[in-house]
Amino acid sequence: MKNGLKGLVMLSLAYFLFSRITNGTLFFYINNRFAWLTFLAVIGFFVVALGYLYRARLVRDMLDTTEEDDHDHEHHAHEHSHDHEHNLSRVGLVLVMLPVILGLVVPASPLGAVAMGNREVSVGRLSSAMAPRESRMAASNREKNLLDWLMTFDGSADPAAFDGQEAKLTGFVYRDSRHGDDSFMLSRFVVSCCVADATPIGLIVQWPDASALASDQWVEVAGHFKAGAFDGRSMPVLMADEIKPTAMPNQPYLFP
Amino acid sequence: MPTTLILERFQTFVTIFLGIFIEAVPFLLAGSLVSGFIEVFLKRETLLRFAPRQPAVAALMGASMGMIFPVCECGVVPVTRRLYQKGLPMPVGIAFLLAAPVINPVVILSTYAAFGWGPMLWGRLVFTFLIAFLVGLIFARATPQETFTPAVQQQMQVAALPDASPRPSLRQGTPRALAAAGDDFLDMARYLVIGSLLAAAMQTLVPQSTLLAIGANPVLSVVAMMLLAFVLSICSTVDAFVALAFTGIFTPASILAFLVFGPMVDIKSMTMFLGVFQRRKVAYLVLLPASLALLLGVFLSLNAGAWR
Repeated sequence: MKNGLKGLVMLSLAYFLFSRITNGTLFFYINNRFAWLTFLAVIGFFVVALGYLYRARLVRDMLDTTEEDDHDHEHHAHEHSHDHEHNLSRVGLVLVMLPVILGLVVPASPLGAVAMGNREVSVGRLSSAMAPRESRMAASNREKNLLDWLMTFDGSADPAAFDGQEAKLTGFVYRDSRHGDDSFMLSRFVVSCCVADATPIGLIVQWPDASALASDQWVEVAGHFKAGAFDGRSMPVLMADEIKPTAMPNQPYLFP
Repeated sequence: MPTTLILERFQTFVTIFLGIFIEAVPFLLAGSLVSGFIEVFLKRETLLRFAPRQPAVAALMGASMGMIFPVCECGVVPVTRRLYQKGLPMPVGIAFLLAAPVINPVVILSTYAAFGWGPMLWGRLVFTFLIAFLVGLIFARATPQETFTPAVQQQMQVAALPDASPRPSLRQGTPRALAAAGDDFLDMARYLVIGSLLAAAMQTLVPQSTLLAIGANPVLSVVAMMLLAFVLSICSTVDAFVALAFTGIFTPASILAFLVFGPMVDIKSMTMFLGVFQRRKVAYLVLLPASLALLLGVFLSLNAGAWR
């Protein structure tokens, strides 16, 4: 049944989105502010699927019964001409199902060190103005995340202004040829809408064993700031006292 | 390139593709639902009674219709297609298609949240309205035969057949409306998928630095931001927040070009246009807004101090 097949496609889209919500991978893709839209879409796909399945049954009933209501018959003939162009072609079916197939076959993973390669990384400060958040700026030093600190640094022209201040930060490790054996970049992606606009931010961390840390490894760094330099630019650098490997947070991205 | 790197690149590509798709799909579904209920419950005669004949009035009306149908650039395509099938005059639909993703309450609010009541908000509204109006006027002379895909033309003919049946009751009509919405969604979703694949591929393969390197030049920065809007394919309901992230690097005029051009045309909406219009008209629908937005951005960069 054509209607039955379309109903199944709708159900699989509903299931796919629903499973992203329940297994927590939804936040690998979009800002949590928009999760309610995904939830509404699950309901929407489900309702549309019901519409298709209801009509599939209607058609079957009509084939079964010999005595047909005249009005229904006429109605159906009229609709049939409407449906004519809506045969779901095989290519169309594959394309519509592609997100579901890719989502189920390729293991879900958030953007990481590899994706930083061809994006502009904001190191030690934000290369652009982000919406200032008074509430976050008021957070105490212990509560500040990587984005909060970079915003704080943006407000000051003197990288030495933060010398001695303590911080405890979570992020993933990024290293390239610009880093010596004793430093790495603690990084996060900032996502305002979905991963299409993900912007990587980073902070230089001094740590004697930095070369032993693998890229993409999530770590929690405790330490204090000291004015330093990276890539010929002076900026506050985090002198690590302790580095603990940690699991990836439930929300791998930061949301401005 | 080592195999693991290729695999990781592919994973990045899949993540970005699914990100764009998951973010956009609720809006496309919402637009399809509106379209499905229009199909069943809006009589052609009713629409024709209210549709203006005079091209300028028609284009004005089309450019303002987003205030009643708050849709973004994904949802607007199925709604426009359905209204055309019901006999909507050409300039109304084109102006609606281009303006509605910006001239609607949701986007006005999100732009206000990002930029406040300032020239950026007003500039975005006024210039989007102007460009949509102008392109709508230009299309006033086009005939349906040379504009729409054969499938859409066929549906127009079916819809034009005399239909004496009364408007269906809500109970009778809803399953039909849902199925029509589903058909619309399935039709449009393939273009959304192709567009998202292209945008994700561009983002995985083209380094952002190539675009950002030209940010300082007043003319090139306008071009760069328009290209960025085209490639990123972000939903118009949230693109203001993304534009905000570029305010330090790019000139205000180029940010405005991003905010005006992006909602009208980007990779995924362009592929979706192909489900309604013939290829040549899709080219016009991309190139006309692009050149008008470029003119606007370059003019402001070179002549108005505050926008430099």
